[in-house]
Amino acid sequence: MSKTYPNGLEALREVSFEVRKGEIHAIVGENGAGKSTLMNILFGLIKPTSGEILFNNNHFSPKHPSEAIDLGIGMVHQHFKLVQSITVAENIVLGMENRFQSKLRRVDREAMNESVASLIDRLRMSISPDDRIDSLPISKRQQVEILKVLYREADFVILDEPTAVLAPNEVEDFLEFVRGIREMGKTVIFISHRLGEVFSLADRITILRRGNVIGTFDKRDVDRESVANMMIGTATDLSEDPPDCLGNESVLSVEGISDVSGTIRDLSFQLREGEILGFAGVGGNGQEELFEALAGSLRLASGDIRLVGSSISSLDTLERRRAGLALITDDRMGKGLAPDRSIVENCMAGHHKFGKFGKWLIKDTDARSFTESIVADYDVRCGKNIKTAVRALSGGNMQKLLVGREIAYEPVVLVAAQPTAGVDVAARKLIHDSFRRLVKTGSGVILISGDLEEIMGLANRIIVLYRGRAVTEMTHPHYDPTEISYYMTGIRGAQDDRYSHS
Amino acid sequence: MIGTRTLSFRKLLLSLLLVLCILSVWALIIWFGGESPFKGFRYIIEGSLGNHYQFLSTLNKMVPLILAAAAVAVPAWTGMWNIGGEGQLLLGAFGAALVGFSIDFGVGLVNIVVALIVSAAFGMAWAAWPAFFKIKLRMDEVVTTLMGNYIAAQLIAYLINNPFRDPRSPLAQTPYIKSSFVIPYLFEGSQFSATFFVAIGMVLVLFIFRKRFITGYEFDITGSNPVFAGLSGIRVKKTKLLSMLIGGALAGLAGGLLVLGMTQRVMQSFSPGYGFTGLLICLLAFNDPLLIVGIAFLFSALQTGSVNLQLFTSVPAEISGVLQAVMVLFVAAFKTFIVGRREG
Repeated sequence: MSKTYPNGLEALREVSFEVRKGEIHAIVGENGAGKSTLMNILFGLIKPTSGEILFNNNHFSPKHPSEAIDLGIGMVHQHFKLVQSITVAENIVLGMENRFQSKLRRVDREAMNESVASLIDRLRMSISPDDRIDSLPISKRQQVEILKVLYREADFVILDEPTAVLAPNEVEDFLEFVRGIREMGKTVIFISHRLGEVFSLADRITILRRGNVIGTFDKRDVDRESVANMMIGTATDLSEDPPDCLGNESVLSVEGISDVSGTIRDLSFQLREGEILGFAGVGGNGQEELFEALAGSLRLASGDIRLVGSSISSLDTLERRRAGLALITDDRMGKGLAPDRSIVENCMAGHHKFGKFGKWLIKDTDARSFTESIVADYDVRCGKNIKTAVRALSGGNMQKLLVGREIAYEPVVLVAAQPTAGVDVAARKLIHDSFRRLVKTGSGVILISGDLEEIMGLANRIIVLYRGRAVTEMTHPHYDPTEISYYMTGIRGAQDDRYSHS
Repeated sequence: MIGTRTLSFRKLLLSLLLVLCILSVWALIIWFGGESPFKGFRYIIEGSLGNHYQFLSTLNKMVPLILAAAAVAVPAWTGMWNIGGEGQLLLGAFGAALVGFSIDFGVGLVNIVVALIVSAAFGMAWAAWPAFFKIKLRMDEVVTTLMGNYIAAQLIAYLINNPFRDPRSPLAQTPYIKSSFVIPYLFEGSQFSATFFVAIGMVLVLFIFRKRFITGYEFDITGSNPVFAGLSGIRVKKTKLLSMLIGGALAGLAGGLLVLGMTQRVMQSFSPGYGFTGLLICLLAFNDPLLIVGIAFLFSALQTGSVNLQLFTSVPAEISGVLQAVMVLFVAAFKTFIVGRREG
């Protein structure tokens, strides 16, 4: 099976694997490895570019999820789709309530509750059909979501990162529940990148990396360390070296911060002038929250952030930018640019607050020359027309534009999240070089990236994030990709995860 | 100018097709009404542009339409929906009347300027609370501004029935404003007055504000991508609030100009739905101030022309509403192809 998206992204490259009836089959891989694409193809949400699926030895190419559901395939998404204000039974039966309707269209609630209760009993779960969804904790809601699928007599259940939303103490309960599903004779696909859980649950494991299947293994034949290696790809090219211009003064100091969403927990670090500090981790372990907390769009529950000595915790984004912060977001289309507006307008954004183009009236010539210098310095290919809408640019050119605009602030601290995601090799090199030039002037860079090669080639120091905590710290040149991959997947260092210790 | 350039041959062709579609459906409707379409179009054109009296009447009708449309457009630049133009216009009209019959500064021009400022302030106040609720409590401004129209209508009905009713009048209406507040007609036999130039002036100011001013630029960026705007250091809530206030002031000004330039008082059913017609015009003009003038001219011509149509044929003047609706439907259908899909 292959899938190439219209924008040229090769999400899957001739992947093949098989799932046996009645097993729990784990699919592991980093974010962007192609897991979601693969599952969406199975469920009829996306059409593959080439390849085929055999389901129970029959050719199967769903054009719509309903076709997959008819064949007994059920999918549980990461984000719940439940109606908050009605009961468990009502949610589960929703869409098929006509089974319980009398001729007068009255729903026989008792029969409905009974049929749901029998399913709950078979799985030995501790929820009642009468509970309202909004009175249930997250972990139970997720079980309701799965019940919904099982109730429709799905024999093949896909669970997409089900433990991502669970607290550590809820995980064991959940895993037990999944084992219960297997005992009912059903097949489960379990997508995760937490290897502790995977090894506790799965019969077989398929590893995806950058759109390729590295292999499918019986759990007994592999250990966590080798799976982590295959998943993250530790045969990294270390030809690049971090810049060597470390100063002594601290430019940014983060002191014990926790954010209000509860994701980041008690995080502290110092960034020195001329330093690139890398944050590694598998996506969803607090990277986005760290960015938002630094940008000022996510409030802190505790702790303090200091920029060159003075606290910026209570400042909004504008005041932080004025204090010397620049921000490269990981979502260029959604947060970093206004795709429908022109290149000039996108370059001006933020800089206009510094009076570069006049206080009231926009000085056209200043705006143009400013934009033209960014377009030239960062090789943004736009056919010399800076009035083109940004949407018309390729992903790499958009990213160069975004990076160029942020570095043009000449910031004291640059926070860059996934600065080279989805860009070609040349653009990547250009962006990396611009970071190197920036630190030479004494600025500091926070590099949040899921790309280990990028971090190891660029950062003077690496902090690994796992479940919102800094689990380890390493300093160049003492980088060990294998070791880092263990920390990233929670095999090491995660005190609050019971499955982490081998 | 720093906007995007988006003209292409394909778009031009589509626009022509759009006009053709609208005209042919219009022809069909007039034909159903029992008149030959060509004759019908002729009566409409003659009735709206035929002589200088009719032409001035068309221009005069544009005044509230232009401002009511601008009242929708400015908040739309920042991604806010102002459906409350009708209510803001009523409040503005009442504000102008209140000043006009109760105060006198002695100098005609001062009187007029003060009354207009008060009308804008009243309109602004009526837009302020929905904007505030939106920003502080995340209440949907579509609902609050829309509901505000009905509250405003009842409020004005009460004010002109009780505390501010003209004691000599058998009808529920305010006293006439003093003659020093009246914006005089410029031509005999026509209600056309300087109000037209005020409306056109406001449009030009808005156009320049949007294209040349830093704040206008912030409006556009906020409307285009609020998350990006926030991350760039634009204060999104403040910008949205400001746009809503400007919108309310424009609608209020429309009401004030109507009172000072035409009705000279506020009476029951003061507005035949200017606010809602303004909304349609703004939608057709894609929030662009200059296009608003063009579309408002078209709407206004249809209205004055239909009166003529009714005079000479069996087709009722209400047909203008149907013709406007046809236009809105077709433009909505073609919009995606011509300007592309836009969120917001």
